[in-house]
Amino acid sequence: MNAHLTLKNVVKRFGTQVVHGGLNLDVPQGKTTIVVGHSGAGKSVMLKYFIGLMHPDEGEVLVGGENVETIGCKQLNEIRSNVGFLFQGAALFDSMTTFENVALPLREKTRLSSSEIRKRVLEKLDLVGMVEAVDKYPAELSGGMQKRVGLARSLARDPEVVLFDEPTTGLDPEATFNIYELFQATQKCLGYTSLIVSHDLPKVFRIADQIAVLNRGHITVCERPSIGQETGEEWLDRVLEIEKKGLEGVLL
Amino acid sequence: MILLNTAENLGSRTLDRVEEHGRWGLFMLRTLNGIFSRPFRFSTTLREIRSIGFDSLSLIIFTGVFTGMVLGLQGYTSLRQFGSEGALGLGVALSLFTELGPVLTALLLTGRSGSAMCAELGVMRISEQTSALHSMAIDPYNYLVGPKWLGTLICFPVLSFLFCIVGVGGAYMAGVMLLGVNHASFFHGIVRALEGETILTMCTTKSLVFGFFMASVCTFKGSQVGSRGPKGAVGVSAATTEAVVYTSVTVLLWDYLITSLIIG
Repeated sequence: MNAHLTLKNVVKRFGTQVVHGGLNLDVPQGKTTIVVGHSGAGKSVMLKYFIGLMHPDEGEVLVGGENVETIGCKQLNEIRSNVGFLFQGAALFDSMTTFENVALPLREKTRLSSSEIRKRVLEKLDLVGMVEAVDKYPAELSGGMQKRVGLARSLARDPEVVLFDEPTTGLDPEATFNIYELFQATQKCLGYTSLIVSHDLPKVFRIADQIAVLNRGHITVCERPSIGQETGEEWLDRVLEIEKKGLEGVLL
Repeated sequence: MILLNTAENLGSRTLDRVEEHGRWGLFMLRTLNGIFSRPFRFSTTLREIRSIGFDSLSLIIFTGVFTGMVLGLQGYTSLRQFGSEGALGLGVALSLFTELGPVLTALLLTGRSGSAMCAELGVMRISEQTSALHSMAIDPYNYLVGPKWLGTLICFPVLSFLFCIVGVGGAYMAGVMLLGVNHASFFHGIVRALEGETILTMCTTKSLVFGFFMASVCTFKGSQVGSRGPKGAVGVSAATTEAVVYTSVTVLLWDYLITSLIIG
C-alpha cells in the first residue's frame, strides 16, 4: 500500500456548526505530520476520516490513492489492516491483559501460529518498554503505560501508517518526553507514515517533519519552526508566544 | 402557540422513535450478518452461555422452586373449595409451562444478564474500545454482539424449561409433601398437561421470542450510548435502565400476542 494520506476539500458539519470548511492536507509517505489547533477544532474527527470511523459530508479522503468514502467494506478493512490507530485514552480492552490486547489484531487478522504471535507481541512490548507488564490488566497500568501498550498494539501488525490521537494528553513531562522518544525510535525502526494530533506545543515539534494548523475549519501547513522563528500562521505564532512568555515568567 | 408547540414536540418525538426503530432494524441486520460471517465464534459463544446461562442457574432454580411452592399452596387452597385438589398438578404445569416459566425467566434474565450486556457494550463504546475494534478491521457485530445473541437464544429455552421443572418440584413439595395432595393424581395431572404439544410449543416459542428481544434490545441500547441523549457514565446508566424497561414491556406485550396466536 502507498502510505500517502490526502484530504481534498473535506467539509463536515455537526448540525449548523461547520467543523471543517474545506480541509486540504497532504501527508507524505514515511514522514511525521503534526496536527495542532484549539480544542474543538475537529482534529480527532479529521484523524478518524482516514479509517472510516467518521465520514465527511463533502470532499475526498484518500489513503494510498484509495478514496475511503467510496470503497467497499473489504477494501476499507484492507486499509484498516495497514493503519495503526492510537486512541486518546489508549482504548485498551479492559477484560484483557496487556499481552492479549497486543495479540488481538494478530490473532484475529493473521494466520500466525501461537508461538509466532507470542514472539511478535513480546517484540513490540519490548520496543515500548512494557515487557514486564505482560500479564497486567489495563486497570493496573498508569496512563503513560496504557499509552505505551496502545502504541504496541497499534504497531503489532507492522502498519505502514500510524495515526496518533493526542498521545501525550494527561501525561507528566517525563512520560511525555519518553513517548516522543518512543515515536522517534519506532518510526526510525519501522518507517511508517505518522499523523499526530496534539496539543502539546511546542514539545511535539521535535518529532515533526511538517506541521498542519487546523484553525476555523481550514488547514495551513508550515515547516517546523526554529527557536524564536515565526511560522506565519497567526494562531500558532500566538500560542508559541504565550508558551514563551509563560516559560520566561516562571524562570524569572 | 401552545398547540403549535405541542404538535411540534409530538412530531419531533414521533420522528425520533421512527428513526430509532430504523437504527434498531439496521443493527439487527448487521448482527445477523455478523453471526453468519467467518470466523464463527464458538469459544466466545460458550463464554456467553456460561455467563448468561450457567451463572444464572442458582437464581433460576431459587425463583422457580419458590414460584412453584406458592402456586402449589394457592392452587391447593382454591381447588379444595371445589373438591378438586387432584387437579393441582395439571394447573401447576399449565401455569408454569405456558406463562410463568418463560415470562419470569425472561424478566429475571433481563435484569441479570440483559443489563450486564447493555452496560458492557455501553462502557466499551464510551471508552472507544468498539472504535478500536473497527480500527483493527474486526467487526464488532461478529466479535461482540453475535455471540451474545447466540448465547441468549440458546440459554433462554433451556433456562425456561429448567424453571418450569424446578417449579413443578416446588409445587410438589408444597402440595404433596406439605398439604397432602395425592402423589399419583399430582403426577397424572402433570403428564396430562404435557401430553398436548401446545404447551411445549408455547414454552419454546415464547422463550425464543423473549430471548431474541432481550438480546437485540439490550445490545442495541448499549451500542448506542453517547450517540444520542446523555453521555459517559450517566449515558450507560440511562441506556441500561431503558434496555431493561423496554425489554420487560416487550416481553409482556409479546406474551399476550403469542398466547393469542397459539391458542387461536
